Amino acid sequence: MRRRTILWLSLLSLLAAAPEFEFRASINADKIGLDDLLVYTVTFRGAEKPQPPDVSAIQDFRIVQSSRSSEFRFVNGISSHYTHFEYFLRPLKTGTLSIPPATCIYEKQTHQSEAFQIEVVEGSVGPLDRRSQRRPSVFDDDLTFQPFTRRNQAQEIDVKLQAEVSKENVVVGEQIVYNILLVTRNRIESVNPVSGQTFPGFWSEWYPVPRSIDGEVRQIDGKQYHVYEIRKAALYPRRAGKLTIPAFQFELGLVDDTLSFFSTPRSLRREPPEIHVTVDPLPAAAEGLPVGEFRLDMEPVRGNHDVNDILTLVLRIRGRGNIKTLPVPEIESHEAYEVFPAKITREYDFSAPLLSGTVMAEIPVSFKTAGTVELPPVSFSYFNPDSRRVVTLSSDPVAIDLTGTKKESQQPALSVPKTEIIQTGDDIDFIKKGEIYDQNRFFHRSTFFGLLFLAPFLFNVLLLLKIRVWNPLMKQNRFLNHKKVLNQTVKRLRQVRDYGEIQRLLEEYLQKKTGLGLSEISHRSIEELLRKSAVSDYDIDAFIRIKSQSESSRFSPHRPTREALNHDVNTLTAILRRIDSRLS
Amino acid sequence: MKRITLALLLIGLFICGTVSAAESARLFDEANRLYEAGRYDRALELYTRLQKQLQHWRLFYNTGNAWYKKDDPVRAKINYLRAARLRPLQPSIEKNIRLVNARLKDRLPPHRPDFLERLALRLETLFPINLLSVLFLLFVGSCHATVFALVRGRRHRLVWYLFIAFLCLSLLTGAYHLYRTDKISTRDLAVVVAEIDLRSGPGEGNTVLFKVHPGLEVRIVERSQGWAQVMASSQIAGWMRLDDLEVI
Repeated sequence: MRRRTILWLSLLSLLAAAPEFEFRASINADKIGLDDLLVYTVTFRGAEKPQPPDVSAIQDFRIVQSSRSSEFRFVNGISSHYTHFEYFLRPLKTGTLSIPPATCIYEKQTHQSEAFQIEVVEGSVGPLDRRSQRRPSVFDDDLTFQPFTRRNQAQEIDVKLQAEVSKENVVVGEQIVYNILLVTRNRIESVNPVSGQTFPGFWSEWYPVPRSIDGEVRQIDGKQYHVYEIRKAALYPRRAGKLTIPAFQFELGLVDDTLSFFSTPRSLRREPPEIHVTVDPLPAAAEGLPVGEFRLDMEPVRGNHDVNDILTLVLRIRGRGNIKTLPVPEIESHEAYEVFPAKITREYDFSAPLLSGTVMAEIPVSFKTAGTVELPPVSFSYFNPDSRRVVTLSSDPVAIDLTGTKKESQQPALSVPKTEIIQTGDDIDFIKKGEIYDQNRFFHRSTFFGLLFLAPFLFNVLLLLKIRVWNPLMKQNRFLNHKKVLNQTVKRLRQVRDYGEIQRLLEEYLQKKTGLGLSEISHRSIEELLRKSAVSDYDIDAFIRIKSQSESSRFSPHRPTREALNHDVNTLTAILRRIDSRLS
Repeated sequence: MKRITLALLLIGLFICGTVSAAESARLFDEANRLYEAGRYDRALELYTRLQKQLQHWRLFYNTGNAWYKKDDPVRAKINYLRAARLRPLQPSIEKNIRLVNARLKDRLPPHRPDFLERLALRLETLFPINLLSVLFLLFVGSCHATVFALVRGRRHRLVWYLFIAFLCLSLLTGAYHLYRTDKISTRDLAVVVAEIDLRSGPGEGNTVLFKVHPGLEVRIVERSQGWAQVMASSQIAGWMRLDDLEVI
């Protein structure tokens, strides 16, 4: 617990000691020459990702280049984050020049750095501070790009393309590495080929264009240049004689500090000189052989295998040479096994000084008999241009143990692709026939879809309303309940087929309306009840008469006619409608 | 009387629909025969006339073939893309688009759909939108039927399980239906039909960024006052007049 408290206290003290924001500027010299560069550094301390400061007030210098860097310091338990903006300034005139304060806005407050006075003399004053020795890189971020600021001094253009080859005297098929170099004293932002990039008389393989190009500094004619390797290709002469590597034209996008935002970027076209290569013929013994230096490997086949299996032998040829045209040695079929066409994969390794690669052949083999089958060694010959002799490589023989019995019906050849098919032309697929209908007529856009979608919703909602609202309401409301009893009785009366049923219906009606029990219902009680409810004598008599007839009809052999039944039902319906409101 | 009138009306509508479908089928067959006979101009006329009545992938595909034979790869591509929109992953359409692209000036690396994209397209071919609508209605209806049973007091465990299952299926098909209808309504694929400049903004005064040729397939990002912001790839984008585009 005590240890934890101390830890918290120390953390709090660290937080309390966190550095405040600081904005300052510095220069690397007070006196420089017109040919020198002054390094003007603006530093932010304690600011997270600050925006570049405003240095537009600098009039006496031209900003040649800028860069941004960050550092994190941890001193005496206090951490500080620094961001440096470094500007390389070229003076525009001699005399005492001034650098006005740089400004920045941080957390809605404007901060200012200090101003400087620099004495500028003709020529150069010699080595300045170490930082000024660093030349700006071609790929530095240009933070000083200000679209509305015009800088008047035009920059001198010193850009050229050079080409070099690894060898100028080769034999047919020998690899030459061809390099195109950009030699520049200016900043280049883009390099694009303009002319076609083919090499007549050569097989060629371009190296992939790198994502970023690293350059080197070279002294040429006493001047310092940045040299970048922009394109590279491996070439293999196809015939003897004097061959020419043509000059390819490139368009170079020049970063010009004097440009304004609305002017078009400056582009230059440059091409390297042509290169002539002398190609000697191959010796007679090497005619038709690949040229280079290679290794041959055959992957061993381990373990026992079933005689019905198809095994894949893997053969690899690695080395430097024309991988694209490298032939793969074949294994002949034998009475004990059958060899099928191989799947061939070619891979390049662009990291080596000379282009190298691997050719991998996966050769399917099926066997005819069980036991130990030995495949003969595979031979591969090539011409080595360095030693000027033909080299023959051989793999080890491959012994394979096979078990089981051969199934006669099996036809392994069917599963292996044949190479007899030759494509002789290409055309579009033929027209399609069949039924057509409007695929753009959508069911979901029709009213019917909407109705079908909503209908079950409405149905369920109404059902719920009936159960949750209507039915309880009916139960609570006596008037509606009575009406319901009358309606039900009238409905059932209309469905009566036998005169005897009328009595039962009337008794049920009276039970529901008056709450009397079945044993309490008699002609006398009915009469009393109706009279009490101020029903007319005519209706009372008719009611009791029809009820009595219904009772007696159950025991009488004479059935009333249909017409008489309908008449009495209609009379009773009318009476019920009249007396119902009184009974309620 | 009313019932008879309604029945007559329905029969009339059915007969009209059947006659119209039969007429379309006859025209389509006739156009196919003309194509086979090498009379591509006449076949195109009939295909174009049919396109005004209905849209079907076979119709667009055959129209594309006729344009291809008439040596107009741009029109052919437009029709193949329309066919592919209605019938994704059809091998013949894909092959013909590949062949047409080889004859166009602007060739960009073809878009190869990844596994998920292919799965989505496969689902589209398996479940046409109308089938999806019917399924959705069925699931919604079944869900309501189980609700009805539950409300009426039949609260067996099986009814509850069916209710949950139909509810999930309704939500699933409903969501997929919405996705598909949204996809149908967004028509952002287009083909450039003239040699034009892609500019940095909607207006002739803006900087020319790229010069593109007819047949280039682009995606419309935004439309503004007769201009469209289009994107051919992550690098090639700009504004052009809508008149120079044929929306797929």
